[in-house]
Formats: sequence, C-alpha cells, structure tokens
Amino acid sequence: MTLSRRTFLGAAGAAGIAAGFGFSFEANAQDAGAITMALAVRGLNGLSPQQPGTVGADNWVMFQIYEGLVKVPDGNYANRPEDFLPSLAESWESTSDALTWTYHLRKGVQFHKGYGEMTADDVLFCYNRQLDPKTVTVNKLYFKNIASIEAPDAYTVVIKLTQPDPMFNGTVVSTLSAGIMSRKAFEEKGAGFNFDPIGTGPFQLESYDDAQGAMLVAFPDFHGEKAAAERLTFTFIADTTARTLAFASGQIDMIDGVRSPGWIESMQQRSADTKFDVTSPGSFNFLHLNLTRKPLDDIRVRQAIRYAIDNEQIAQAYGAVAKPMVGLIASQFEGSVTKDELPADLKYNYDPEKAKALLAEAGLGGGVTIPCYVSQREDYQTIMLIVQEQLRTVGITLDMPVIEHNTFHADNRNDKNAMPLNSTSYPPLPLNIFAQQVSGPAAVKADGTGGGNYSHYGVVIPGVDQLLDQARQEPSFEARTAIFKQIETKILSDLPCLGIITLGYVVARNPRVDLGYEVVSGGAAWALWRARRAS
Amino acid sequence: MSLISDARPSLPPQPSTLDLLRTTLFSKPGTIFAVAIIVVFVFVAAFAPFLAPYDPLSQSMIKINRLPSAANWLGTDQFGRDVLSRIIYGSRNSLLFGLISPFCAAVVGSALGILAGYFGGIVDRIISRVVDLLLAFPELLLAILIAAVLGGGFWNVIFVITVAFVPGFARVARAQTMAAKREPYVEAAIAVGVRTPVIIIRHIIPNIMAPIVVLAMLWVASAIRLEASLSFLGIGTQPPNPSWGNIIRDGLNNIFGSPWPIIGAGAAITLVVLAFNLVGDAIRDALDPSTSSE
Repeated sequence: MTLSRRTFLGAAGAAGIAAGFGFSFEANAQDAGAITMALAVRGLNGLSPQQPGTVGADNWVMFQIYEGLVKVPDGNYANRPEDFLPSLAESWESTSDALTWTYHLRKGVQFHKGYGEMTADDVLFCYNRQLDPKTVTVNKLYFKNIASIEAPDAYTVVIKLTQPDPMFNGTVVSTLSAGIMSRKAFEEKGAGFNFDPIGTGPFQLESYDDAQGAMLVAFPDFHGEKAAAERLTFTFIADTTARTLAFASGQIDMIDGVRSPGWIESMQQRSADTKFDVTSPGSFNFLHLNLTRKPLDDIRVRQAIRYAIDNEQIAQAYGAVAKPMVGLIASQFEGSVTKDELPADLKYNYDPEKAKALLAEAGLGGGVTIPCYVSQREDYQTIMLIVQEQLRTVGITLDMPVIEHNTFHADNRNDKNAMPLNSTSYPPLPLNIFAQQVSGPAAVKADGTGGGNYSHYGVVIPGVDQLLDQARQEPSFEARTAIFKQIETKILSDLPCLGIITLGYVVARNPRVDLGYEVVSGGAAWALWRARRAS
Repeated sequence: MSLISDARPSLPPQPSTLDLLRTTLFSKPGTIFAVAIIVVFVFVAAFAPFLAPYDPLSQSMIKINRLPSAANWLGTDQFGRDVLSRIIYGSRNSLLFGLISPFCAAVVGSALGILAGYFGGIVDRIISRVVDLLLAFPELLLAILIAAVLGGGFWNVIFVITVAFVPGFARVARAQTMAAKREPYVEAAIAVGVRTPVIIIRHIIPNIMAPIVVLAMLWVASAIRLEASLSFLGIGTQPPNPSWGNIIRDGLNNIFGSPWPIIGAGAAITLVVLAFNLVGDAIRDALDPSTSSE
C-alpha cells in the first residue's frame, strides 16, 4: 500500500513525459463512413433548440439535427440579406418596409423517425413557443420584434414585425433557437424530447448518454442531398490532455481545440498536417463588471480595471487567432468603434499608473480584493489568469476559484459572480450583442429568470435601452450603424462590460476528414453533412 | 518490522530518546540522504523569495513555453511564468500543509482517542463509531468530499487534511491509552485520588507519545501527497498561487507546449515524499519498535 502510494506519482510523471514525445496519425479499424468528434464537456445539457442553458457542445449536435426556414452559407455568416440560402423554406419574400416576411415551405420534408411531414403547423408551434411569455425558452429576446405569425395554408408562413428588420433572416430565422422541431414529437415526449430530439436535419439521434456520447446516423429520408458520412459520433472528453491524446492517436477525427497560448504551434510542431478550422472573429470575450457589487459600483474602480487590463497583451498570448477589442463589437463587424474615432478619455490605452491613481482616488490605494470565479475551460481560465495577473500589478486581487464549466454558467445566471467573463460567438448583428449583454431586459436575476446581462447595465445605469429602441426603429442600415457606435461610446464611458479579445474558435481536424467546405466565419459549431472520411 | 525490539532490553544503560534518534537517523546512508533532502527543501521553502530567480506569478506573453535555458532553468509555462520559481514557491505550500495538518490531526485525534480510551463506555462508543465511520472512507475520498463542500483555500485544505487524518490518530491513541490505563502506576494514581485531568496529562500522554509522533512523521509525507492530489484535482491551492499539485495540473493541459512543469513538480513531490517516508520509518524504528507502519 505504502509502496504503491510512493511510486504512484512517479509513474504518473513518467506517463506524462512519454506523452510529451511526438505523435503521428495512425489508421485504425473504424469504418470509413463514421466521423467522431470529441467535445470539451462532460455531457450535454439538452438537445431541444429552445432549451435554456444549452452551450456550444449542445449546439454542435443540434446543428446536425435541426434546420431553420433559411440557412447561412456553410462555414460562414450571412453578412447581407441576399447571402441567406433556402432550407426548409424554398423561397421567401419581404415587403419593402421589411415588416412582413412570407416564407414558402418546401413540400414533402420528413421529420426523423417517422414523425411525418413538416408543415406550417410545426413552424407556428415552434415560433409561438418562443413568443409565448409563459414558456421558458432560450433567446426569447431575438423574437421580441415579431408582432404576429400566421399560416394561410400548410406550406406558407407569414411573419409580421413590429419594427423593420432587413436582416430578419439573420436576427431570427436562421438562428438555432428558430430550428424547427416536430410538434407531434414534442407534445408526445414532453420533457423527454430534450434527449430524444426530432428535427428534419441530415442526421438523426440514435442514442445518447454521458459516457458513450451522442450517436447520430444519417437520416435516410432527408429532403436534400444525403449526409456524406453514415455515422457521426460526439463524445465528451473534458480533459484537455486526454482529448489531445485521443486525437493524436487517431481515435478521434475532430476535437474542440484548446484555446490556451501556444497550443496550435505545439500541435503543428508534432504533426504538421493537422488541419485547423478557425472562425473569425469567433467568440467575443466580455468581462462583465457587476454594478451591484462593491467596489465595482464605483466608476473610478471600473476605469482603473479598464486601464489595468492590456487587451493587446492577452491577444498576443494567443497569436493569430485572437484580436484585441475596443468596445463590445468585433472590429470586423459594422457598428464597431476604433480607437481613432474615440475621444482621448475613452481610448483606455493600457496605463497601470493611471489605474493606481484612480484606485487611490476611490480610496482603495491600499489595494482591494474582489471575489469572483472562473470556468475551468482553457480559454476562460487563460484569459482570466492573465487578467488576474495584470490587475494584481495595480493592487487589485481577484480571489478567483476555478470551477466546472456548466456550474460556472449556472451560477452566473443566478447572479453569483462579481466579474464573470463571458465568451459567446455572434453573427454580424450588433443589436443582438447589445440586447444580450448590456440591455435592461436581459439583466441577470438572482432567481435565474434573467438574461446574460451580468452587469445589470440598463437597470442600475439607465439609458442604453432608449438607444437600443432607437436603433430597432431605424430602417436605414447606415443610420443604425451610427446609433451602434453611439451605444459603444456610451458603454465605454460607463464601463459596465469590457470587451477583452475576440478569439477564433478552433477545431483540430485529422487530415483524413474532408469537411466539404472551408470554415471562414460563423458560430462555434458547424454543419457536418458534407464531411467525409477518406478510407 | 524491526529487530531492535530484541536488542533493546539487553542494553544496560537505556539510551535517551534523542540519542536513539541520532543513532537511527545517521546510521544508514539512505536515511542521511533523506534527511539531507528534507533539510534542502525546508531551506528552499524558508528562503523562497531569495532563491527564486523570478516572481512566480509574473507572466510574460513574449516567452511562453520556453524550454530549459540558462535564464529559465526549467523553462516557462504557457503564461511565460518561470517554472523553477513556481516550484520553489510551491514548496512552501507543500511543506506547510505537510507539517501543519498532521500536527493538528495529532492533537485533535489524540485528544479524542485518549477520551475514548480513558473513559470507555458511552464516550468510547460514540467516538469509536464516528472514527470507524471516517476510517471507512479512504483519506483522499474523504478529503475530496469535504473540499467539495468547503471549497479551496489555505485553511480549508488544512482542515480537510486534518479531518482526513484524525481517525488514524484517534485509533492509535485510544489503543495506547487503554493499555496505559491498566498499568499499575495509573491504577495507583487513581487509588490515591489524583484528579482525572492530572492523570491524563502526567501519566497517560507521556506514555503514549511515541507512537503518535511516529504516526505524525509518517503522515507528513501523506499530507504532502494529499495536498498535491487535491490541488491537482483543482480543489486545493487555487491558481495563480503555485503548489506542486496545481503546477502538474496546469502542466498537464499544456503537456505538448512544455513538459517541464510536470517533470519538475513531479520530481519534487517524489523526492520529498520519499524522504519523509524514509525518515518516518527510521524514527519509527528508533522510538517505537513494536509498531509497524500504520
């Protein structure tokens, strides 16, 4: 017993050292029609597109199972109204005021597992659930602009908006939360639907459990071109090293990349032909400063934090996949502000001395400790450990336990975190970003019924919601963009939420898997219906 | 298992405990080596600020994942922090936990064990059943359970390790007290009406000290190992503060970037745990020939 204890750590160390040497991709005996991807979680939260609390891993699976009325191009966002592609709707038209949208559904689209044909009834069911204030669904805010939804016949859906939205397909219709579920299946299965999902997508769920993962098979009655791979498996390997080793051994075709400094370089050093699919801008990393907590309620403390955090240095740690942020909108998107456009006092160039002076002014010259917590996921942990160190140099100590990722999000939603970092992928729709991160209606509530505005901005410091309403009523793209810049400036003067970096979402792919398209931009999950594995 | 038990009665003048310790510790080269390692590590922990070449927390994004060089003897980690400095500072955590926890556990556990052993009856039954209950769980599992409830942090981890070790001390103290209580001098003391606290302090405690001290020494190594395990699992020392366990944990996520944090911290844990175990064994042989390990 004693001996085994003594030798245990030594043996563990030796195994680690052995793993440090190079690897090469090995063929293994799996059938060529199966693709396996390992996600960095311990299990899924749910596979209903309307289920609150679903995260990136759930989206990966749902992307293969569900479709919306329209879709974005594979591996990209739709930047302009004409970029959207038909999906469950064969065609659509909108009135010139962008208030009425009519969708003509494809005929003969079948739901998985014999749940019958998809009709306007299913579409109405899904949208009405999102519109019904009594049902608890995810991303309800997206649907707020819908005044009414009707189905003149079984294959036509007419949606009327309160305010004009030329990008309605991007704001609502192509999002995963507007994915079409089978009404019959949903009503039949009740809560069980969450892990027995019925959609129309190219893959259907065969089985799910936390240990085995989610097993998907190609849906034989898919309305479009059949999926190139016969089977698709999503397994869960939260541990970074185990995931990387499983990938290196060739057991796994694709893995959630590790967003810690130097990872891509070290992978390339060991196997130069590994493919990396990277989205740009990828995820937006926001640091919310909870305005209801001391000392963060003091603007001088928030300014000190802003001056003490060096976005450039954090981006530099990640190399080419990261870009420093100025406001909350990525520099690639319209509506973002550049430092040149901003007045001198809102540029917030890295200045630790100024940060110290502001803290002294706030009566915290002797230093201050702020309790908060961070997810154990590498990107969260890495960014916050750098932030922690940068703040330490000006006298702000973050008392910051590292906790499990799902617990982190659950606790954030109950308003337990003073400084939550939030990483989210966004399409080029600034309104969505502001509405989710800093608008009054999205303010977090202790009972968990609030949204993702963890700073309570708009409630504690009012004003942003008026500007957002103004933008919502503005039909002109240019004029809207000007309002977005105004919002950016207001946020920079109140500092409820700091843009840190945008970080490309990375998936490492074995070169034997051909995705069928190139990943350029888009959310942190993409469709794998064209992916095939060379035998 | 030792052969000294046969030899001891035949030594005409009984040597003092200190002499015994000295002869045992410095009789075997292995033990001398182990003592030397402990001395070195204690020195390193005590003078960490003077010995560490860099601030263990200071990051540098322009020198991440460096391999060992003249500037960074064990290279740098994924934050550009000097690995050697982190291991040097980490020794403070490990040694503090390793020394404080068994000491606390010895005090609490012995007190419980003496109470149970001396008074017997219902007191004994309650304490023994609780101790048995705790003993049913492996130390690491018990520690994880408590740490999961309390969270990390220095004193929480001390508390956790202390609780995990209390049952062992309580068991030994109880057995020794029960034996000591039947000695004629204790019975005599009771007969002449010496008060119970005085009997415990004057007659019981000095006579049961030897096995307790031996156990405490042996468990220093276990405490260091347990702290490393807890930190490795993310419930011990919280980042950015270095401890050997969380250096390995961080290093494991970055094993392809640089394996040196794992190698360095792993070697440090192995050496220190081995050294404390060797010294613990030697002290046991010297003080308490009748007790085998745990």
